[in-house]
Amino acid sequence: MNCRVCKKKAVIAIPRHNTAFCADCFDKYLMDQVRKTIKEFRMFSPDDRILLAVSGGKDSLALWDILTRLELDVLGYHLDLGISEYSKESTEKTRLFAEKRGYRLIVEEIESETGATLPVIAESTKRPPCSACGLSKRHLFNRAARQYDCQVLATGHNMDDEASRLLGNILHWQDGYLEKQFPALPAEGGLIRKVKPLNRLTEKEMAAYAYLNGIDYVIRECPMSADAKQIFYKKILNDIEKESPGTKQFFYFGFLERSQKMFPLSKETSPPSENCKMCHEPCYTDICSFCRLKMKLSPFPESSETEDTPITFITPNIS
Amino acid sequence: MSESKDQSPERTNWVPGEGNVPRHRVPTPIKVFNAQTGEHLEVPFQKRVSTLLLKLGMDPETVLVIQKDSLLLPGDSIDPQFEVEIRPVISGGSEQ
Repeated sequence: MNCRVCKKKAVIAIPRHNTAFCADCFDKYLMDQVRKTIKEFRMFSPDDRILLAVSGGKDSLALWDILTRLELDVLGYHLDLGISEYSKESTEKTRLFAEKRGYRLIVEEIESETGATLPVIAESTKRPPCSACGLSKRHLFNRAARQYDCQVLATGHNMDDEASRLLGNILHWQDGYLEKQFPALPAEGGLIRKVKPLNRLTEKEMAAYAYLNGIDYVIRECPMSADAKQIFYKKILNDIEKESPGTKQFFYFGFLERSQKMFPLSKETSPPSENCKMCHEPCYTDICSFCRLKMKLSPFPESSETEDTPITFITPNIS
Repeated sequence: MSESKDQSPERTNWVPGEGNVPRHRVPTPIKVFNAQTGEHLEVPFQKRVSTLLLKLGMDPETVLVIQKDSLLLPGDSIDPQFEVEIRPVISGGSEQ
């Protein structure tokens, strides 16, 4: 098969667009898709400093490369999850990538934040590992963005991630999540603006970009996500896509076109109006989910007292 | 073309016998490396990437197929002299 543009030997076929590209034309296509997304959703302002969440996988490392090529001001942030050899490899590859290219990187460990690694957190709190991981990342990414004076938080979620998440949210009618499933969420109530510049590109396209650009990423799957529902939903969507190319994109972008009409922001999803009494990060209740998670890991898991909690003395009712 | 120069995967291996008649064919197996699991496999010869992936039960849209430092498409031929790397691209897990 030859490149649709220049007729050289193609290196990637894109069935949903009924096309194929050589390495050079694929690069141009991919960069155009990212530029289009950034422009359409007004993801960045000229003076923005971007905190990029980097896992060491293909998507985040490729996004770092792409945003740097677009001459944006990017600061990488990697959270070491403490998942034995997998996390060691992820941190190592992220560090090497940054060092080789002279990119700025911050590395933090979940263990130093919570006193436990992710497997221990999942086990101790009886939460699914992906849920504990997501909760911790949301908290620590937002905190890091504020701490390092970044106006926007970027993640490497691709179209497959977003379409599979959408499928899961619809199957369970998660209205609150559907309202917020958008590639650019504004800053509000202490939460930093969040953007997903890769939402037009598939997992395969991102892997091809990483390979063609010599990006050494973690290929193996996170050992804790083997049973993740998201992978199951991705398989279902890929089966549909095989029979009917373009369905995945139609499903996801069709949702984006309709989402604000079908799922307008409700009062329940208004921005956080408070600050956590323990960590002072934005939250919806007295104590944020991350601090509650940490409390469950403490030797006194049921305790929820803070400095501001009044002490109530129980005295005998003497009449 | 002399036999030593014939690198065709489908070449017939001549077994000495009566009247120089071919008695069986030994197609070259393909060496496959799964980069995600670290497994090395040997798969009976398949001419094209699409049939190799079918044999392995893999969807072409969920893997990169690499040989001799190049990405291969489903319709491309496989050179059995070189190992084929299969690199799954699906990842999943937490939503941040």
